[in-house]
Amino acid sequence: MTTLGLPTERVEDWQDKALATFDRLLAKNRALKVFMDSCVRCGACTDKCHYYLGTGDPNNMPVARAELLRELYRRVYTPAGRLAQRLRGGPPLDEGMLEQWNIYFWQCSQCRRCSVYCPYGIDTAEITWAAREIMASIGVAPKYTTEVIAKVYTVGNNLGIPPAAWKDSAEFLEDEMYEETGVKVELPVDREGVDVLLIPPSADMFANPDTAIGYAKIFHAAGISWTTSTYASEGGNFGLFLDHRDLKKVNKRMVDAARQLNVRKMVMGECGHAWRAAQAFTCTVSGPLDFLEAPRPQHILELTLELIRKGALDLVKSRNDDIVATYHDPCNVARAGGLVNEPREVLKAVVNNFIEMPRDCIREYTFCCGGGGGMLADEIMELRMAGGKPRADAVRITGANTLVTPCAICKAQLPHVMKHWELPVEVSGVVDLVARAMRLPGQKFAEEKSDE
Amino acid sequence: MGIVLAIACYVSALAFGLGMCFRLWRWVRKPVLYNMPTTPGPRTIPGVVGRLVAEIVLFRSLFRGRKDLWALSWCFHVAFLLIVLRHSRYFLYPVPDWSMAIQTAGYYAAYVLAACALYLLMRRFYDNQTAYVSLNADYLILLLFLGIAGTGLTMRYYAAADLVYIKNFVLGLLAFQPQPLSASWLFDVHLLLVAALVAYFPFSKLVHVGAAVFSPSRNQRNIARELPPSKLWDFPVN
Repeated sequence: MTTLGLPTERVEDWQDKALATFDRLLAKNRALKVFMDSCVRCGACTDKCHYYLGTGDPNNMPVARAELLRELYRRVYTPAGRLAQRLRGGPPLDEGMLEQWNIYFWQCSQCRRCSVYCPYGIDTAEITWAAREIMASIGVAPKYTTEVIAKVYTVGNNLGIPPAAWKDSAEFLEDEMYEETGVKVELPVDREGVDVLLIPPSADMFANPDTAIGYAKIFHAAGISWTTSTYASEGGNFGLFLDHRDLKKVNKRMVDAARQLNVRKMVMGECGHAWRAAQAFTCTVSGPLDFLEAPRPQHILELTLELIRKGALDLVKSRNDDIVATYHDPCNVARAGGLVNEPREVLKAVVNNFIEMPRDCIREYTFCCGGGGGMLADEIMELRMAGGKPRADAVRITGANTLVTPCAICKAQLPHVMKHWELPVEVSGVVDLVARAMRLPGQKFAEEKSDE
Repeated sequence: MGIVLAIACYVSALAFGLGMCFRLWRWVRKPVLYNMPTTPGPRTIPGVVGRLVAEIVLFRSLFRGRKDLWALSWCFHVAFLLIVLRHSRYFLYPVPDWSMAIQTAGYYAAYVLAACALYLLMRRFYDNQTAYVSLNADYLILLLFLGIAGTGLTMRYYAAADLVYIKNFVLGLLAFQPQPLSASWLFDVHLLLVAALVAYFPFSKLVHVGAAVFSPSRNQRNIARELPPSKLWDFPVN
């Protein structure tokens, strides 16, 4: 954790240090203060959390989770609470409370579903973020998250892919595309002076090659010059769910890369945490971004939709007729990122068979895949599968054979979820299907070649 | 007894006034860290106002959350509003027409309020999820409301207080010239309970009235990509 400037093990004066962090967070965040003060324990949020629905553990009810932090808040900041604490004796933050925090604030994927149904919009993700930051400041944070962020600072991305391997992967994908299409489609790395800096989740280069191919084909067909960056090869900003300082540090890398490579636009790939962090924070945290064209940044699907509307992409929908698609709104793209219609319009432009899941669990009401917010570790597979059940149930209702989603975490989590809950459903990205339906300039499909 | 009630009313009003100012001031004083409206976030100010009106007048998010709770809660709050407005006749001289016009509605509202408060209280026992998170304060506030509604309703139908004396007393309080009062014990309890509620208000979850307006996830425009850099984030990261 030293690369993060966070303690690697529990510090000695942890109770004081924790309270100091809490104080700092409350002082500079009106949201946190309002959320601490205004919960009326009405219970509207209780049955909305996928982890509660999946595990049945009452502490996973968003209100109960928030009360874990609120209990400390009352003991320190409210007159009645302080009095009660004096009568109770002992420090306000004790070992038992810390243990509960460590369990339950790492059973929240910060999906914000609860905040949609709360009368005051209390955002449990903010509360979880604050609690995690307090714990991180005293040396309590899972290695899965801290080691991943550390890799961004040393190598540039969450998976620890060094620049040479990134370039190799790009070349490999270029060869694949040439073999498939007969057209030389580039996947540039560290190229300067181009139109677009694309920042994908690093997983796209290895785990989701169809998505990477999708990006390349779209830019190629539209005649947009672009590049990836080995310095900022990760869109997925894990600081988003650990602490504010790392959020800024990871975000700043992207802006620095854009400036360094002298690009005109910054475009985020198919990644939930990337989108939420970049969309909500970049201008505020790493601005001003006057050297970039608006929107700052743009989502690949916003760009793709623009191109589709202009008619810049040659799409043959029937190429995807074997697909019966349903669309999973990733929490951080839809509910926390505002992109609900764009991905759907892109998908409907490339797929003939599209079925929506029930209305109460799509768009801003979407169920989390169960693997976000630092929850994608193997050790908690059981919890992840339990959290994915509400999503699986909804997919089952549609009868679809393909679950389409623009998020690398969802693409890593959902195949396990589908298999665990016995659904014969493949998982795919949105641009994957765009690429599948696309005829590149100069490309002839196999069936067309045989006609000659 | 009149002196005790007068002091209680003044202290309570002071506690409420100062307390609410303090509470709201603490919220307003804190900066907004970043732009975070829950989707769908309106992009214009009229859009935000519309969202807030839908939340405050119709409890829109709660409606999506739990329809049964919404019905109980909305009826409770509307009844509460009607009752408070009805009581204006005890504070205003001469009594305006609108105040007389809502007297009947106000009386029926008291039944609605009592029934809803009772239901909400029972809910905190039999609904396992809500019972799990309910604090002592949650039960106490509902009991307080039931006490106020109960004494009020009983007064109206079984031990009507002398209105002339009471009106005189209230107007005296408002003019800072406390008048003597000799009313039934029911009235004393009713007024003391109200004073207790009003004084307790700023130190309890009842400040959620402000949260409806101050919550950043509801009152922000969806304009994160157009904002200037914030000084709050101006710290070194290398």
